[in-house]
Amino acid sequence: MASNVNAKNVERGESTWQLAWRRFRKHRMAQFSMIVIVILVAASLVAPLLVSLGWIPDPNEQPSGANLKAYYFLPPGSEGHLLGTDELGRDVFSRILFGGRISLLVGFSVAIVSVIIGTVIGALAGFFSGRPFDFYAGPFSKRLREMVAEGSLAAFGLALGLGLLALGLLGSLAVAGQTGAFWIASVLVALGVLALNLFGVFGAHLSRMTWTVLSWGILGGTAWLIWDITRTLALPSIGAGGVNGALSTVGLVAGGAAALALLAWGLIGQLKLDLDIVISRLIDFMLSIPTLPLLLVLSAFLNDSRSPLGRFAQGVFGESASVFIIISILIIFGWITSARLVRGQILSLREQEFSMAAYALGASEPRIMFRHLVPNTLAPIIVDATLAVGTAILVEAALSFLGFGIQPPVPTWGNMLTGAQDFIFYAPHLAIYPGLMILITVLAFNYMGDGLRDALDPRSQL
Amino acid sequence: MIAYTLRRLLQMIPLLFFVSLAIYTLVALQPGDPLEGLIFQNPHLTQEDIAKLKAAYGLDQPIHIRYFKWLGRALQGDLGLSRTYAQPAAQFIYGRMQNTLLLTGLSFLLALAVAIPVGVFSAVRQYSIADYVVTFFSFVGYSTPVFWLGIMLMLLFAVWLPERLGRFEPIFPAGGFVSPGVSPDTVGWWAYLKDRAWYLVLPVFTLSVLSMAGWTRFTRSSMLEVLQQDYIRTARSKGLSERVVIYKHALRNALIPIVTLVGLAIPGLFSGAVITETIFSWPGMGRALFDSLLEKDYNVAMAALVFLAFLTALFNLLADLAYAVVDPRIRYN
Amino acid sequence: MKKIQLLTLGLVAVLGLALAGPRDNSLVIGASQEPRVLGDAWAFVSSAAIASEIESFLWAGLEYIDIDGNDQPYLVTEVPTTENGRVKVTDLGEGKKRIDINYTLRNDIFWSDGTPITSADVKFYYEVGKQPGAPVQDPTYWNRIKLSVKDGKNFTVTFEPAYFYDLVGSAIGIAPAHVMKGEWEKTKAEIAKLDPEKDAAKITELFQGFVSKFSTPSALSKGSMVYSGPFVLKRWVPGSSLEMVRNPKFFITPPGGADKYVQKVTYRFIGDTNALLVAILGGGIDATSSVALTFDQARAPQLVRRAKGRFDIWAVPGVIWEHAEVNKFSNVQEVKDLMLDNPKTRQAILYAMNRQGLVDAFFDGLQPVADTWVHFADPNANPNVAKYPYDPEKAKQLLAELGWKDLDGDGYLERKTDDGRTVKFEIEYVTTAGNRIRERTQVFFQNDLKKVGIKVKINNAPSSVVFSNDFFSKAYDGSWKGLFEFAWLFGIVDDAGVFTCKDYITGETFVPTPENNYSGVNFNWCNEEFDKLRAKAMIEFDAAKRKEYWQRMQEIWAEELPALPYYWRSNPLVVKKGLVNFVSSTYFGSFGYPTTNAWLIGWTENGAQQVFDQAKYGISALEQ
Repeated sequence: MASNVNAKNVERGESTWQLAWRRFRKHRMAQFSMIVIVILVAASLVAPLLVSLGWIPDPNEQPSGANLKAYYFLPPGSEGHLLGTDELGRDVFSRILFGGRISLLVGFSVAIVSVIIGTVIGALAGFFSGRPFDFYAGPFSKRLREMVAEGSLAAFGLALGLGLLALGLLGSLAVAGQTGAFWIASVLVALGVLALNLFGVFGAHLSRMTWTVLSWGILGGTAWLIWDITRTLALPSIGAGGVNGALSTVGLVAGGAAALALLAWGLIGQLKLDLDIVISRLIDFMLSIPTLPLLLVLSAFLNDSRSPLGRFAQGVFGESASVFIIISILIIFGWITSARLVRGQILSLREQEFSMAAYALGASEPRIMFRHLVPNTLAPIIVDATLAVGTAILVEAALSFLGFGIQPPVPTWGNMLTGAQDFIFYAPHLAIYPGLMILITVLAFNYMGDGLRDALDPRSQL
Repeated sequence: MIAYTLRRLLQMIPLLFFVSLAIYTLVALQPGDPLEGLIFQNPHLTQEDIAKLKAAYGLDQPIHIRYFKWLGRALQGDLGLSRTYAQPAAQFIYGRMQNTLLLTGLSFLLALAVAIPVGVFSAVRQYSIADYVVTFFSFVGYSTPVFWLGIMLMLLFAVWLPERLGRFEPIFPAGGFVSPGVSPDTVGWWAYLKDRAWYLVLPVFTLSVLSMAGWTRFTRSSMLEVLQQDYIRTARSKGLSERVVIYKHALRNALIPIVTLVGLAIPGLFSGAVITETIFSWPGMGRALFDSLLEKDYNVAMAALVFLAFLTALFNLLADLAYAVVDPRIRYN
Repeated sequence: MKKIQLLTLGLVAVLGLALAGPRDNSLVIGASQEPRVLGDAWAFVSSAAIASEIESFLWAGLEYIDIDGNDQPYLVTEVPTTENGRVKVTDLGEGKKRIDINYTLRNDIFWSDGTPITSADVKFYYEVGKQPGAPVQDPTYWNRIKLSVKDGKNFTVTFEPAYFYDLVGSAIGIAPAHVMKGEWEKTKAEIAKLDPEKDAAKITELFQGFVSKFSTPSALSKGSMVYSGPFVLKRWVPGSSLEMVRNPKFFITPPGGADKYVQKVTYRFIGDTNALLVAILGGGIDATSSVALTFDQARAPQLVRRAKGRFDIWAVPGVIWEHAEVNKFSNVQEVKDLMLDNPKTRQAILYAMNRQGLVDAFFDGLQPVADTWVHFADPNANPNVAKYPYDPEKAKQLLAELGWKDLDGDGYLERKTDDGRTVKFEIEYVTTAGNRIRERTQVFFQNDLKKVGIKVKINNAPSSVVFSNDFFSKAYDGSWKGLFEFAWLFGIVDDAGVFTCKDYITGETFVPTPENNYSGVNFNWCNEEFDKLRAKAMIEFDAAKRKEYWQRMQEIWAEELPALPYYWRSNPLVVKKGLVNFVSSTYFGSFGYPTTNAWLIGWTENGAQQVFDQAKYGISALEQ
């Protein structure tokens, strides 16, 4: 993300980021929190490895043999069980590590995806505020009419591309449950995007953007494949969810959102609406819905194996379907904060001299927006993303605690607490540790966000 | 400003329409229907009986028809009858509302009463040990899962501490809202209020921790920002006492963003009450909503959700208006 | 199922001040559920277990089920039987019968406002329930019943077609006509304006609205209802407590005089069972309701430690039958491969399961092993059926006879099918995820079955998923393919409907297949002899003869094992020392309500005499 501002600082010998890092280091708690987060992430990542090395028990393994009773509710510090065992004799320490995988997975995916979505929406809304939305004139309006009029090759490309896209999506829905089918679908989708580009359906600018997206997609896909192989061959006890779930979740949610965005884009462009007003109304609407109750309703509906999304998720993710569903739900509500934040920033930035100068120099609107304005909102975005991780973890825990979140047997800190509540008289340790882990993790992210704010906010003093 | 208020109120109408439509769809799409349990329980019901039962509960209609029927009645002020309580849903929610108001109202006051003085104190003494302690605790409070805090408090005051003190009675009750047989006419008002207060301690504290911590942080930073302004420097240089500078000049200006934040947070307090009420068996609206979702008592769920949505929209408006009152620079048109 | 959920959900905490107990001759009962309405005689609104328990204090029926599971007269002079000539059976042919039951109301019975209880009250109950469009939960009952009133105290109830259970408990309900009639006439007029086809939902609301005038907390606290039971409701604070005081108009005088017994009863409702346990520990509660602590909580070390000399803790065997259903649809490939439709396979599996070991390990033996679907406390239980004690050798032998052998040496059995494939004995085991006891049970049996070479594949899902129609009822389509553990509730009037394949009286089938739109819960066990015996028993009004049929049915069942019986769940009951006659038994008041003979509950300190001994009907959890 090289920005012009950066370039200037490099000449001075210290970039904005170096300066920020220097400030960040003054914030002791934030630094300490960063170390805590690194440890948490590392511990979650190596947890399956520890299981396969035999250092910790499998989180879902129940004791077997005679006198099973002797293995239940063991207190912390019992032999072979650092934090004791739960009501099914499973190792609490191991479950906390694996629960952490899910909690962090939820936190990171929700924060990253919702911040990306929020930034894009907020930037567009802010930038085009006060006039009809005509970004790229809208793929469904001008360009489409031209192509039909010309009867050009692009029309054929459009048909082919859309056809392949549809085939890919339908295919993955129809044969959901087979990872293979999922792969085939991904390839078809990629081919569809490729076709759309080859025939220049979206025009030059967008082609370049799509190419970028595509190449990143291929890179990501390869990484996923490598991971998938490692996972199946080397780490058989990865447990529920896992990084596989993370990647596919992010991919699927982003894909779905992109499809919706494309549709909205076309419609708003066609109807010549002010995007800012549309987005503000949408945000008003979302904010008027009581969040927690709605989350309950939504997750009950989506977790139901009879709903289309529920069926799809269960087909693809099996028992960890609820992880995917909770992530999606949290994203639906997560983008609002960053969208509002970015919109406000862009509104004021676009009136500033440097963007006026860019206009004067004849820079295109997308260039001004993504090269000049958005990088300048990066500081608050990063802070927002950090805090969003903590919030997502808390909300997931609350939902799981109420029984509407991630379903057993996938361990999460939230649903470990639900179970523990029934046994606080036998084994208070079952309730104490998962809660402490949530507290520590969220605290670490909040402190880090605070440190980042101090470091990145030019107004804050050293 | 009256025109502005009216316009905002008018805008609430389509907003509430869409919100109620979205909520109704989601509630009606919940897994299973209210009759599933009944049918499961009674294997002898014939298909005809089941069809009749479905008709009796209006479940034979498609969702959009049901929604418009509901809307039609709701517009006439009839939110339907609770299937499980046999009371008009509105009346039932209103009853529960009073308990929730007591809980959230007290939590709100407690949070404000702690957050503003502590936040100001902390800002005035920036970088002192006290400031660090306050900051740390506000971070902890902000990061604590409410439901876990509730369980821990229950464990502490109802199990561990009494055990250490060698007594049986909990220090604070772990659930409920009044002792049996205690009412103003049996024990007198004073004892009654004391009893009620005893039950309120844990839930109110649990519910207020999050806002308390958040608002403390916010007050502190808002205050710090104001203290750096030129006019504060001017006030100081005029030789005004520190007290006057802080409370008359700085605090008043720092309060402006706090008012907005607090106003916007009120609906959130009601949402948060779902968890607190569930843990402490508090018979409020949040718990009623939670139960009605589990039991598929659609009318109650709708009444509670739409009421919450209305509250949210209303407080958004009030926060904006309050903003205008405190900050004369804002004009509406 | 609803009742099962109710019973497992909660616990009650009463955080009451210590003014309860013998000092003022009062009683505080803790419950984890709160009724929504009380006295909804037609169950237009709800029929929760906790409501039935509390209603025992407030209203008397014509008859009640006593502590040993027998009928006793309550508001009537005697229990109608064929012997005393009050029951007349008419054979209608084609396997159908009609019965006429003659009741005579006692002369000394009054509603709490002093109005005598008469046939008019029974007639009123009948009229409301019979009204077209009434949202009754058991339509067949209302289709079969007819009432004719002879005079103020005598009336006849007719059932056509009649079933044996029409003679168990009260044949009809009762409601105070002089109080409710006015409101009912208004409601009826409203209903008459509506079209029963088009406005069904509106009519339901009218019925519920009518009932709510006499049953909601606010209505009852205002005194809008009258009572016929030993207590009257004084105040009901929703979400907190319900207070009742002795009814001076009640007609039964307990031994020694009513003033020797409890004068005031308070229910404390606390939804969170932990909070309830805290309240019990704190001493604010004298006894727990039948819907209170969970089995595990009643044995919490804190409670047991403090109970010595203060409380008794009982485990009372209940009517909830924990078992595993077996998919026997041989069109499902897995079922066919594993021969689950063959009784021998099911016998082998049951022999391999150490059920006694399980109840000893997990419940200290307090929840008894089940042999069939009929509870051992049921007067019709057959103690001499085939039993399947833990015997892995026998299991192995049976499996070997079926052709199972460990071919690849992995410790699990294989066999060659007729079409030449080799299949492994790997059976799917489904239950409700999140239910700790079932999850433990599952792993326990997984170990047991491993020992005989059967591999268990666990496949759990949340209860909303496994009990959905798409999953539970679609065993025919292989939605679940092996074992499915859950519980049924079998009351004293159970008619074996769960195991019936074909009902020879109505001609309906209860095997869920596409042909009958997946109705019924019999997962393909069709035994003609069993079904025919049931058809006979259903219309046999001679208890001795019916017992004969019923016993034979149990023999067949135990031989064929359509399902695998695990154990009967027990209800925990915590009772303060000195409180007498607050006892529970399996069928007391039909479902084990300790309040069925509420007029006898009292403190020995205040002179109450003990009539029932809980030790006869439950096991002390303290002596374990």
